[in-house]
Amino acid sequence: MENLSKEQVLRVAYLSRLELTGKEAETYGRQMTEILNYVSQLSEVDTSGVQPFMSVTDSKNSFREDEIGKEGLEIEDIKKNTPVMDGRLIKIKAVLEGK
Amino acid sequence: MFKKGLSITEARRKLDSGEMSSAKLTKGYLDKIKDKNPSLNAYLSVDNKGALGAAKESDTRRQKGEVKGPLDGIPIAVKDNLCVRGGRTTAASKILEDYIAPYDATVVKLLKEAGTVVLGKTNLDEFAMGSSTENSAYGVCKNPWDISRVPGGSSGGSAAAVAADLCVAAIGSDTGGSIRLPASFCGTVGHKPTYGAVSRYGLIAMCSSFDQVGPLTKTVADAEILMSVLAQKDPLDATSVGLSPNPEKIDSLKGIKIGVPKEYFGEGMERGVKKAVEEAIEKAGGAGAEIIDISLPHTKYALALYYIIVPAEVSSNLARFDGIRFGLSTEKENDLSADSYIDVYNVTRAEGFGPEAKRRIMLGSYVLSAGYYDAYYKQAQRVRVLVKKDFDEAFAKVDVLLTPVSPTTAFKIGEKIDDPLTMYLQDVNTVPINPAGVPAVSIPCGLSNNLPVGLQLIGPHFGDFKLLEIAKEVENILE
Repeated sequence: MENLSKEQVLRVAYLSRLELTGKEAETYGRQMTEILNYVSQLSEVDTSGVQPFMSVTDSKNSFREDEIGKEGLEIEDIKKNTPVMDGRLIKIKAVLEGK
Repeated sequence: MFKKGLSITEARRKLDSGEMSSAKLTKGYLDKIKDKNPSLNAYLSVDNKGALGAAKESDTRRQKGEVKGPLDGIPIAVKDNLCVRGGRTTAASKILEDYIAPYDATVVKLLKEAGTVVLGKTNLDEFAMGSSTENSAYGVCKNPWDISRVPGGSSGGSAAAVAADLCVAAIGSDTGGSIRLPASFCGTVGHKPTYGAVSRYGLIAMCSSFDQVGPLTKTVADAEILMSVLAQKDPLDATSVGLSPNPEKIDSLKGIKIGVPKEYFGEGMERGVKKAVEEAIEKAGGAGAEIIDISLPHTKYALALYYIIVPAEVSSNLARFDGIRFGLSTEKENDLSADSYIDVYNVTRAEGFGPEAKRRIMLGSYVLSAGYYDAYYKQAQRVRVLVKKDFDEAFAKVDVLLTPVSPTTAFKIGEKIDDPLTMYLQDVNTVPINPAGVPAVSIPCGLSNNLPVGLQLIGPHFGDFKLLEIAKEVENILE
C-alpha cells in the first residue's frame, strides 16, 4: 500500500476531531503507514466461510427490566467536572449558526 | 521467590493474631510511599485520609469479631483508569487531569465492601495504551529492579508498587498484556481473567471487547483471593458473566497436561529468558506434568488483528472526551480557546491526548471508514475467530499452555518509545490471549541478567480458578 499522504492524515484527523499541525500530520502519516503495512498481512489469511467474531461467551443481548434505575449520578458530583453550567443545564457553544 | 514484604495471607495472619493493626499496617505503607514514590513514580495519587479512615474502621470491626473476609484491612493500590468516587481519576492523561470520578467502579465497590483499604491510584500508560508506562502524561514509572528501566505497561505503576512493597497487592487492567507484561518485568504475579469474569463498569474503556480488570500480587494464592472477591456477575456490565467458584484443589502437577506452543518461542528471544523458561518446563516435567508440543498456527496474525481492532474500538471509546461534560476543555482553560463548536472538540482533544492516543484514534477511524472497513476491521474479526479456535482446539488436548510472557526482560527507558511498531512487537506473546478471551497468568520464573523473567500460563475460558491452582503448583516447584 502507498504511504498515507499528509492530506489523507489531515482528513482522518478531521474525522477524529483532532487538530494537527502540518508537521504532526507528516510524522503520524509515516508511523501510521508503517503500522498499516504491518497489519495488512491479514489479507493473506483464508477466512472464507468464517463469520466475524461476535462474543467470547456466545451470549446474546443482556437485558434488564424496563424500569427507572436507582443508579444515577448526584448533581453535585457532576458539577465538579462540567466546564460551564447554568443551573442544572450544561452550557455549550451554538451548534447551528443562527441565520 | 522475589516477594518483598507481606502477602495478603501473611498480612491477614498478623491482623487476626493482633500482632498488627490495619491502621499500623496502612500507616507503614503510606510512610513508605511518601519516601519511595518520588523516585519510582508508581503512584499518581495517594489518599492518606481515606486509607487511614478505612483502616481504623477495619480495626473496629476486627475488635468486634465482625471481620468481612480475607481482604478486610488489607492495603491495596488501584490503577488510575478505574474510577474511585470523589478521587482524581486521570487514566494518566492530561484530558482527565482534574477529573473527579462521580462513582466507584464495580471492582472498587467490591473491594470496599470487602473492607479493603485503598491506598491510592497507580501510574499507567495513557488510557492503558502502551507497554512501558512511558506514555503516561505524568512521567514514566521506574522499574524497582533497575530504575533506568521500564516496569512494563500499561499497569506499570501497579506492578512496581507490588514489587517495591508499596502495597500488599494491586489491581490493574489488561487488554493485550497490560497486567502480564509489567508483572513479568517486575517479578510479580499478574492474572488476566477470562473476558467477562470481572466487571468493566467504572474501568475507563480502551478496547471494550478485550479489556479485563485483574490482580497483581506477590503470590498466586493472593491472586486467587482477589479473584474470589472480584469475579462476580454485574448487572451494570452487560458483558459480565462472573465465575463459579472452583472447589477443585490441585496439589501436584502429576498428570497435568502442559502444552508448549512453538509459535511463542520466536527468534527474538533473549537467551536468558529462553533458559529460564526451558528450566521451568523441565522442572514441571520432573514434578509429573506431561509436556506436550502444541501448535497455535494463527498466532502470527494475532498482533496484526490486535492493532486493527484495538484502534477501532479506541476511536469509538475516546470520542466521549470532547470538552463538553467533563475533563479538559477550551471552555474551562484560560490558555485554550475555541471559536466554534467544532473547535471545542478539535482543540481540547489535540491538547489533551498524547501521541499514542492520537495515533490509535486516527488508525481506528481509518480502518473503520467506508472502503476500508471490510479489508481491515471485518477481516480482523474473522481472523479473530480462527485465533480463538486455535486455543479451543489446544484445550481439548491439554490443561494449560506455557509460554514466556515476553521475548525480553525490562528494556531501558527511552529505548523503544520512538518507534511505535517496535514497541508493539514487545507484546507478541501476550496479545493473542485477549481476542480469544481466555484467562492467562504471569508468574516469576527466574532471572536473566539480574532482571525478572515471567512465565505465562494460559487456560480455557472460565477456567481461571483451575488455572491459578496449577500456577500455584508451578510457583511451588520453582521456589
